Amino acid sequence: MPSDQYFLAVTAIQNKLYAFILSLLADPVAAQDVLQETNLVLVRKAEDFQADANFQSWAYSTARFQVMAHLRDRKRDRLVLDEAFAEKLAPEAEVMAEATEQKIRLLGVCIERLSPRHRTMLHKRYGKEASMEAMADQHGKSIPAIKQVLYRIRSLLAQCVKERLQEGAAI
Amino acid sequence: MSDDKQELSFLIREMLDGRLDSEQRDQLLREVESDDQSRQQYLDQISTHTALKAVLADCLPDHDVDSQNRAMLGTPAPSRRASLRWGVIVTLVSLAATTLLCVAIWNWPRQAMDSPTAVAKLSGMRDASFGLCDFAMSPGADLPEGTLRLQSGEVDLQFACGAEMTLQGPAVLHLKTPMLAVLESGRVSCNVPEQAIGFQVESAEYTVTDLGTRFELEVGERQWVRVLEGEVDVEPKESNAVRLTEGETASVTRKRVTRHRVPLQEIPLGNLFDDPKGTPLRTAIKTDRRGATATADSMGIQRVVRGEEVQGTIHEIAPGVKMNLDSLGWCDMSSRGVINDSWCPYTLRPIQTQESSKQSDAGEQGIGEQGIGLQACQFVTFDIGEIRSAGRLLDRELAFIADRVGVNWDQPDDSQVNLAVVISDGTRVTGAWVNGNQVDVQGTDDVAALGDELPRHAWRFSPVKFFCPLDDSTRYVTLISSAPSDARLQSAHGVFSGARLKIGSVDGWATRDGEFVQLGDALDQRFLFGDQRWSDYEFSFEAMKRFGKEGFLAIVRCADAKEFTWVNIGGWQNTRTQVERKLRPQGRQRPVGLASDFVIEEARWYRIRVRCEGYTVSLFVDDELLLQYEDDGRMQRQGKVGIGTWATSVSFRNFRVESLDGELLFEALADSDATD
Repeated sequence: MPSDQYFLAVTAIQNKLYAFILSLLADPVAAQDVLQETNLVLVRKAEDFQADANFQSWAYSTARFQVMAHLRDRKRDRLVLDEAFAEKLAPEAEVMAEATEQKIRLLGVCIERLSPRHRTMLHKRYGKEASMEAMADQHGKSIPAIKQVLYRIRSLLAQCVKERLQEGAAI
Repeated sequence: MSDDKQELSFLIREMLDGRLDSEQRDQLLREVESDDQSRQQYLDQISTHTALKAVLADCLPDHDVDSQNRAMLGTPAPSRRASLRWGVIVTLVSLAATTLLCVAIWNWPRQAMDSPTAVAKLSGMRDASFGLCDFAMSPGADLPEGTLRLQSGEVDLQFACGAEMTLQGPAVLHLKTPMLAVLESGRVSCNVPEQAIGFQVESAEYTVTDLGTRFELEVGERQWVRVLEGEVDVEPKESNAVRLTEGETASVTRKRVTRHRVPLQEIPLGNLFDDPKGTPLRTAIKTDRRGATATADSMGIQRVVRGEEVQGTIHEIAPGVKMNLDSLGWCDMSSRGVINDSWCPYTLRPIQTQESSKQSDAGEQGIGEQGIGLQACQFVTFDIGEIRSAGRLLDRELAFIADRVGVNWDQPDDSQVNLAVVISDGTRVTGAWVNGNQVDVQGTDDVAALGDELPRHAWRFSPVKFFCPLDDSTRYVTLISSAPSDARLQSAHGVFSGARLKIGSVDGWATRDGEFVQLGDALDQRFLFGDQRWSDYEFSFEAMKRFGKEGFLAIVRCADAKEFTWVNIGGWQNTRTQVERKLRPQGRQRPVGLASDFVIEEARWYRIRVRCEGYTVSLFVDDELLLQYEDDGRMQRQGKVGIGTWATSVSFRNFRVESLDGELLFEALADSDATD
């Protein structure tokens, strides 16, 4: 694979890799770190990648390797169960991560159907990464109330994406 | 939802929010590991969460890390829309960046923006699309520091300082502060009130600082600044600031500000095809892409209509103007668009109507001639109002000219293969030329038509010239290429070589107040018109000398510049009047026959009539026979007519050509008394 294409592929797979790593680690902060480590390895090993090989498998196996390395390091600090869990979950996580891309495409349409107030809340929470506390302050509501609204929004979106996926399948 | 499921959903959400303690985490993992349904729910929720983050993070104006990184690395913006967060790695790593650098870039703060300061407000949207991010943008939205990626349409921004901006997509605009925006690509127009004087728009190559004004600029393939009101300072990155004042437009590069000051002489119309509406005329003329196809979105184009797309022969050729194209010829054959500098959009073969351009080393794929390819059964309408306004030419004289217009047509019967220019004012047709000759416009008030007896032309042998003066009322110019109704020959291609708007006089020729004037006093100025096949006729006109050393010329039986006859009225420094004849082998024209001592006075109209009958040429001045010449049989028996001047400025009007049996062959610039 020519190098430009390789790097474009690395860019394109970021969301999927994040979903994949997050599901194996169940820890968003650690997932972000491992994603960065994975990116570094992918960049460093660009030359090793065979043009006729499957880039996706290459990226996921690199990520899985980094997840394992991360878990092994963590083990020294404190006891966590996770290596076996991660190994077991990896194949399903990969399938899920691949489906994320399609969700991203559908979400744009689904978000448009939300009320302006719900959209604003979504922006604050996911786009600007506002804390629950800050949002509760801004909206003059309790944290549980904010959580409840966000939960409802996510359910609406999940339902919408599901419907659209089914529509797509029907076609 | 069952309690177990709800509990699981709660744990997953807490995990995604980074709030799980180790006990909860163990509980979550155990459930996910042991139960298939739980595992599916876990993966689903993570997938949706990631997708939401990806979509929303990209759509919201975020801290502008990618452009900062690019600036740091000195790399251009990636052309494809990549994730704000991750897009940078492409340019980064392809530069073989070090590991350290990569870490530095990827570790930018993912700060919370709980109470961001709004830089601007999104105050209006027109057909605006931000692609996937449409949902994030609605009128009234507060925009913090960050980047707007507008894919199409227009949005209005109200900056906190009071400055108003309209952004036209596709565009990338980085909002920096209430007083500063960085335009990466696209076009903006700004209206800056007094309290926001000093508002800046910056690009990679220059900075525009407002001094209380309305201004527009574009960044990208075309780079220009235009001041509509007030003043701005334009400072290229590598040179000093230049002040532009009201009405000025300038092209700008990193090194130079070039004012569009030199008056435009002419506008090659095909050059406008690759420019969007609103582009300053000079910038539009500068970009000249062979093969660019005219569309209704192109600068100066009102509409493009192809025969295959419409039914019948009556068409609206311009707003408010219907015309029946039946006598001209119209068919529904498939055509290939209206093309700049080429007659085929696929091969991009150049326009070559002259032996010289065919023989040039440019060859088949070479440079060729400037012009417009217009295959049979199409028309294109130019909006002269739009062009005048874009070039600030509101009061200038304009004429449509095409030097060599022809069509490649292999059929033996070319009786309906015509090329026409029709001008209109928004309600009716005000002038029409067919195959280079002005023709009468007929038809009803609602539908204009051209007569059945149109001047024909044998295209394959010699292209013709169009000269169509546009008066103040002319709003649209339509170029039409026709073919017989049963035509199926798709390769027939018409070309308007040298199609352009001439600004001001044409080689000193201009139309003014119903007169055709040679303004200058250059040597040997000729203007020809009519049909090459005319043989016996009377050619009449009125002429008035303005200033200069000589009288004027009445040209008859003209084949081309090498073979013609003219009556030199007041020639030889205004000392006599005599016929001169130019035969093909001769180097120049020679006086023939007897001379008259008739001379021309200034500021006085003369009625001139030249009668050609067989080999006899007679000159009448004010209806009195002044001179008669009998040729020895070597002169042309057929040819066009024309007028000419020699070091003298002369006004002409009331042109008329009649056959000897009284049939009107041609009439132009008839005086107003006669036409009213």
